[in-house]
Amino acid sequence: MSRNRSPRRLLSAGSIAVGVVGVVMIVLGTLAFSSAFAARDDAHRFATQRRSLAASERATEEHTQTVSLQGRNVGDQIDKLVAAGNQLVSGANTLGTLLDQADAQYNAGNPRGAAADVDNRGRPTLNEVQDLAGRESQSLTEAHDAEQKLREGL
Amino acid sequence: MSHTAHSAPVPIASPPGPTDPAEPSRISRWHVVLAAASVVLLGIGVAVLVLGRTSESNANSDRDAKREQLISQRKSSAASSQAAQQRRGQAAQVADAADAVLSLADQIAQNDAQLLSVGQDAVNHYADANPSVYNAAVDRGTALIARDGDLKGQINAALDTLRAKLATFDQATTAS
Repeated sequence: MSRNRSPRRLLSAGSIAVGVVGVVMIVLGTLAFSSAFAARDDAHRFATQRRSLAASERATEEHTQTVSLQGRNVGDQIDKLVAAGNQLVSGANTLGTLLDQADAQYNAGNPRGAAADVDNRGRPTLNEVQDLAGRESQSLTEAHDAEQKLREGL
Repeated sequence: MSHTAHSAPVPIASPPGPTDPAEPSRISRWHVVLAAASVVLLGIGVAVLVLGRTSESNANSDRDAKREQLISQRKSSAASSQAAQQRRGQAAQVADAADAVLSLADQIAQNDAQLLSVGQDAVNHYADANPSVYNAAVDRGTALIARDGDLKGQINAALDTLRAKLATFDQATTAS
């Protein structure tokens, strides 16, 4: 029995025990590395998803901003159209007043003066009204384009 | 052969070793190597375990942080998407209101073009000896002006609606 407890055997047993502990630690360490790799894969996947979502969010925000600009542009173009329309109305009223005045002059027995007024003041006013009508038409086209762009952006 | 047969047997010395019962306390080289290997193995084990656990801990922290970021991003994206959808809805309402205004503006423009033609006839034929063309132009002009007034009433109502939609739209733009 005393031979079983000899330093040689104790050393052998201790060495084997330490070796086994070492192997167990290596196995546990390897498992920890494996778990770390899995965690890194997950982290990478999460980061990729987050970047993708962030990019998608940026695109959504840019699109929203574009829609906002187009919406405001529609409002601006319609304001311009209204202004052009009001100018046209004003020009047409001037022409109408001029014709009314010429009519009054004609009815008062001065047809030549009335004709001269219509010729001298009516024609330039008519040309102005034509210009204003052209502007109104252009504004209308621009407002249609703005509204079309807004629709396309939705 | 006879000499060999008669000589005393020579004892064979057994090599010292782990099985040597004569030297129980002697530690052989084999034991030292085994002990050293075990210690090295233990060292490697400790190093692998420490590094592995550290790496695992770091990776877990990184993963948890990235998961939190992803959750936060998801919330932000959902809110952003909802806001964008609301914005598109408001923009669609603006577009619909603009459509109504532009449709009336088209009619007004057509009416204005006819009024312009009437104005040209009135100016060009004012000095005619026969006032029939002028008078017809004035009659057409009166009808067109009446229609113009009607269309303007409608377009003003449509413009009020559009302005209300634009105000809501602008308010949302300022808020965002």
